[in-house]
Amino acid sequence: MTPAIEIRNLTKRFGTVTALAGFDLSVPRGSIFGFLGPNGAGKTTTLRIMTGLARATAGSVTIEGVEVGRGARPPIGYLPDTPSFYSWMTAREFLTYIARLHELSDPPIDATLERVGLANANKKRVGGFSRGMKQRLGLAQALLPQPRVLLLDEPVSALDPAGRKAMLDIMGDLRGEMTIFFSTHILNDAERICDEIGIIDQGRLVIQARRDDLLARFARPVFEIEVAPDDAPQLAALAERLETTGLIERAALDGVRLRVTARDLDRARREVLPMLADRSLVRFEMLGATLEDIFLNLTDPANSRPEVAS
Amino acid sequence: MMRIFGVQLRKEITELWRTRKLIIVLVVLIAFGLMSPILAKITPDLLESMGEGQMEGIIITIPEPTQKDAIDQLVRNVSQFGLLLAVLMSFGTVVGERERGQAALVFAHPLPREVFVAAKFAAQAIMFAAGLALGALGAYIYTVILFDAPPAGRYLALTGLIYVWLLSLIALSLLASTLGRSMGSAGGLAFVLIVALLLAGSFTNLAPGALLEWGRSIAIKAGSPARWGALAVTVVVTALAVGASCIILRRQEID
Ligand SMILES: Nc1ncnc2c1ncn2[C@@H]1O[C@H](COP(=O)(O)OP(=O)(O)OP(=O)(O)O)[C@@H](O)[C@H]1O
Ligand SMILES: [Mg+2]
Repeated sequence: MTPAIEIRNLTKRFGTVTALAGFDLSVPRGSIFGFLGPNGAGKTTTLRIMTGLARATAGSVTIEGVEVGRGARPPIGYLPDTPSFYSWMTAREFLTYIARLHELSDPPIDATLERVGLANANKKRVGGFSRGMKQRLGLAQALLPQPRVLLLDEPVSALDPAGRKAMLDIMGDLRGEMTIFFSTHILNDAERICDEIGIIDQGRLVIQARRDDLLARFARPVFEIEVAPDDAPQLAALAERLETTGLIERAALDGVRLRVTARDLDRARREVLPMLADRSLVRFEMLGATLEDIFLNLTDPANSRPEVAS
Repeated sequence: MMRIFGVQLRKEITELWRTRKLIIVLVVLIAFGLMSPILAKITPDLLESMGEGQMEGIIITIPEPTQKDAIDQLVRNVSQFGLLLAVLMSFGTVVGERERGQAALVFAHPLPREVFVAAKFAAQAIMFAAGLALGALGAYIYTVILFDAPPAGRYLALTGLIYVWLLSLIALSLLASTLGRSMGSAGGLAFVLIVALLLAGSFTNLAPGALLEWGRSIAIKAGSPARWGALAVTVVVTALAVGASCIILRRQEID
């Protein structure tokens, strides 16, 4: 099966600044792909080239078999990082305008507004929209022509937790209907819905892997235990006991919170929780991998070179 | 292509209407159209009343104003305010959409950039056609009331020449708008281009500005020579500016 998006040796220089240093990337059709990277990594630059808004210095992007910048327009929908509309239009008018540009005979305007949660605001001027509403309308205009590939630049970064969840839920619901490629600098957002994750840093692809493989590989063997204040003394005792078992590497106590680094994660998972059985437990949490961990790990010379899974 | 142009033109005209630009242009051009013959009529009285008592012994004879004066006033007012409006209304159109980020949104859809430029030019052209037509009609009616009727065909030729001249200003502002990286630089560039165009008028009869004098001469039967060369230059300048805007925007990277 040919991939939905095929990036080859993508390079972009702005004067002396090399924003993209020539990387390859392949996005499987139908997947939700998280394009992860810190500020200034080159995420927006990559997306702008994919949409034809900017031109690559070298290399190519092929979307659904159409090479970008060669005349034909690939079947994409695009949500820029801060979408900006004509403030004098209403949401419905904007979607009607977009539908006309695509020469759609029966555009699914109501269904799209419904889908992004703007059904009630469709007669309001966009000038009065909040940041979150603009993000929703931005998604709506990208979805309206039912593209085969959806390109989203930091679709949730500017949203509050509820908005973030709503947006990710909508994206999750689109799974299977189209390929979704979205950028973010927060691993947790990618973790929630992605099938596949690519990490970019300083214009280079650091790693591309299936989400589960990536998380398994970089999971931190760290968990945090929090108890009610009454049980704080017992928590200190537990910390000492754990240190003597050899089960853990380190235990750091901070009042009612204990952070434990396990030596053997699987064993620790099975054995530590029962030890807490009679404590008034407030929280027991496995701390997942963070982008920082992955970076530290990958840039550590002791570790293997970047790799591309399956 | 034509369908998309229609969609885009509709968007532009709606925008001019909703952002009040259309109404401003109509009101200003109609106001100056109506005022021109009135000003021509009352200017001698004004001068007389100002001169009263101050220049005793000196008898100033001010000739009775005619429709020629009304037409002079019209050409002067409409060219000054038309120029101002043409630049103000169009120098921000392309750069504004790029700066605000609307261009990044719409160019990801199947909207060819040359259609985007052409629709902007067409919308401005329609707006000024309406404004100039109504302004000139108003001026004509008042000229008929206050003086006597100028020959309609000649008057129409004058209006047409003013319009062609205005189109070249719009096209140059649009070019500045496409070239400019920011609203400020586009404004500065538009100013430079227009000043260059006006200066060219003092060196050669081929500059667009010669159309105004030609139009005036036709309307008042002054018998000045025809300026077909200037007409050709103006049309070419307009077409080149619009064409260049299309090519430049096509090559530009959109932020
Ligand atoms: N138009 C431009 N001119 C000059 N340099 C640019 C331009 N656009 C981007 N860059 C540079 O390219 C690099 C990558 O920028 P880019 O916006 O792609 O990063 P990003 O991953 O999207 O970051 P963020 O998370 O902050 O959005 C940065 O060093 C940036 O300064
Ligand atoms: Mg970015």
